[in-house]
Amino acid sequence: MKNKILFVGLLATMSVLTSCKKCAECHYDTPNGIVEIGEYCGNELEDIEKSGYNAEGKTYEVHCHDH
Amino acid sequence: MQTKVAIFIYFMLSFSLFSQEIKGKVIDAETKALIPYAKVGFPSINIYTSTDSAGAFTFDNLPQSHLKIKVTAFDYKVLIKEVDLSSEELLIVSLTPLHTVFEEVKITASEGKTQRENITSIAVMTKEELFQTGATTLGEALIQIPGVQSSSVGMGISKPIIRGLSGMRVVTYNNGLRIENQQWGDDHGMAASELGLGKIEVVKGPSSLLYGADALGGVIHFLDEPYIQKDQSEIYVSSKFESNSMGTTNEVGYRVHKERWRANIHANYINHADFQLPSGEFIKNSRFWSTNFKSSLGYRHKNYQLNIRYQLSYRRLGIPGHSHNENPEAVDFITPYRSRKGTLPAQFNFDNFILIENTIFFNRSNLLVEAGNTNSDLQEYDEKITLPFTHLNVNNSTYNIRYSYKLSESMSLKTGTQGMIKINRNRFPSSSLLIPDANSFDNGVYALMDYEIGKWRMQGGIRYDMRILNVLKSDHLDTSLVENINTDGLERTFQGINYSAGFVRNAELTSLRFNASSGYRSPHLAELQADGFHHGSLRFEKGNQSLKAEHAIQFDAALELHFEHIEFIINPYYNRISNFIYLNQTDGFAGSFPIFEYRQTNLAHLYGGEIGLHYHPHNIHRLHINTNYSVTIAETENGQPISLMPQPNINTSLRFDINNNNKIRFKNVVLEHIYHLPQNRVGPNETSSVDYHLLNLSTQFSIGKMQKLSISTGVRNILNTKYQGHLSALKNLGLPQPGINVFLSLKYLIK
Repeated sequence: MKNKILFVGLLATMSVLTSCKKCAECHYDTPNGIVEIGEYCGNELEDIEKSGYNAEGKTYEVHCHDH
Repeated sequence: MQTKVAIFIYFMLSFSLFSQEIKGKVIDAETKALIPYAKVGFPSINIYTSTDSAGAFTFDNLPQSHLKIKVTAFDYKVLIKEVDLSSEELLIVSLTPLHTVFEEVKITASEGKTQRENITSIAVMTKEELFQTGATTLGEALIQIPGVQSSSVGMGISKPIIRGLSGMRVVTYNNGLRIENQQWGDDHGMAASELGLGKIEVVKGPSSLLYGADALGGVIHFLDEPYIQKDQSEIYVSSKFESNSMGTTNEVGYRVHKERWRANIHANYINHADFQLPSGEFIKNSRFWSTNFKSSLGYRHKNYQLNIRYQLSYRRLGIPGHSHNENPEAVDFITPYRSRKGTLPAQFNFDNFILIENTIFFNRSNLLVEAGNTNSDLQEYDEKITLPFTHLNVNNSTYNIRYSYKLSESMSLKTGTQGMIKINRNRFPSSSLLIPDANSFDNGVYALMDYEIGKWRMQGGIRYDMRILNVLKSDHLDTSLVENINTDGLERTFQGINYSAGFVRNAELTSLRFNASSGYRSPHLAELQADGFHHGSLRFEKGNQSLKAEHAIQFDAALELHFEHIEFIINPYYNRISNFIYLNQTDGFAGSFPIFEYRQTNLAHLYGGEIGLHYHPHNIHRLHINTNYSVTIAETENGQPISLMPQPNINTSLRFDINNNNKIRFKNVVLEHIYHLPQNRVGPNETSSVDYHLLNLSTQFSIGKMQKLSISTGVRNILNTKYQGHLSALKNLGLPQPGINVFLSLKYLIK
């Protein structure tokens, strides 16, 4: 019984500590069309969605999709 | 102070000391034979029992009050009558034998009367009836109620439409708790679940008298499953599979009733992948999942009754119809592969509802005191994964105090006060505000008088409401956040005086009913403050801060004919709405999006009705043929059709009750035909819709003598018809609705 409780506890701890790292393909829009900027994950993804992407001295709003 | 406390204690004791045990018997009115195993109960206090093998029953701790008793037994006419429990200790109930059995007689929560006795147009349908042909969602099931339709965005998002009106013009109640959940948005679905649901009541037409502001189209009232009989408990698990979307619904429930306490607890998890078209392909991102928890805790002793109800829902709803192409075509939204992986755009809805209801029964009256809170949180993710496009929260606290008094044997009075404090807030971080932060305060008082004489019942009432709306300034926020709204603050006060008056005359074979009722709706935040691109609707919308409140008056009449083998009902209505608010497309464009302005027309006319027929052939007693036709025509004072009116429809069902006594006991077989007629009366820039037929087949049966395992199976859209519902958001993209869907539902009673 003790082992079962330990096993369940271990599983629960693992599931809490193991977080999914979100990744997505991102792009920004220019007057000439969409520019793909590749895959971003985790904090980098959060940062680029929040701050935008710098190119040619301009900051573009970034859109990311997981499809 | 001591005197006040003493009076209060005396008052509390005075109603709690007087209650009693009631014994009774159920007998056959013709032969006077005792009827065993009849179901006897008092619906208003949710107490039921069964007669024993000698036809006797007992209740204890009942309030000394006037209550309606309901008695049902197989092959007997349902009996509902009022009894005075303060003077009766031995109840002898006589049931009349019946050779033909129509549908079960139901008591409506709205008026506390049977459907034939109601003066307003109220439709009632149990969960079993709604889902007997395997509807995937509650929205899909609602169409079985005459005069009710639903609009949808894919399968996961649906909104009820009552006699052509929806959104803010339809008010949703959950066991007496008013639900507010951003229902103004076309893509914001209703916050209701079939979990633990007992029945739905739909009040058709303006219903401000008992339900307050906004209910111009009507009220949809979700009522929980009743508590189990005393000293019993039940645990069940159920599972449903649907082939079209590879959808599963898994549910567990527990009901218990011990002494004075009773409880219902339910939880479920629903998961659907993209739905399949008749062509075999799939609609991208029509996937959704949700999990729900619902609980009711009740306490009843003598003259006091308490119910505490709590509901939690969390839903992730994919929004189909999204493309990066500048000129998207239908093919952009279709895929040959099915998926249930979470992708964008999507909505995350998190709702918490709580209601505390107290009822105190006096000899000739009762007092209901309800306090509730709803919190609805909506995040819409569009093109960013970690940052919602918008994040809205609406918190609504409500109160409802109602005193019902029986003035004499023929006259009764209901009076009360209702109110709510609604707080709309935007949550951050998010990319954009769709509506500004705002507070609104509603208060209303009403009185409703009821008079019965002979076959006649008359009712009249009046109500006064006031709403104070305070829109908070948002000019201090970053301009990128507020580019879609007017940032100016606004303070407005709206008032409404509403009434309802009508009569019903019930003879043995006929019922005649007429009712005039009014309602009002103050403009919503989106209508007042929008000033930019509206996500989900692909248009630029301009609100108008000077919009006035809408006022509606409906005249509703009904004639019912009840013969031994056939029932017929015709229910025409006319709803006249002044200051009707609508979206008008201007000549301008903001970028590539057309500009729409919120405007008011002096008058809008909505008229139509429902016709129903229930036939029960004399020589095939087990066969029930039900058909009903619903139509709504809506136009402005200039005769211009109003957009987004549902297609007229004819719903027909053939139900064959079997109820054999074998190990596998078939309950019934149901064949349902739904015909949506063409909709050619369309508003400016709206496209018409062609007609289509849908055919559904289902059967219900149980296995084992104890009927512990019950099974429901069938096929929806048997003919794999390709159709586009007029009110489906996917219609504008040229996308059809789901194709054939085979379902299998199992429910196992563990205890």
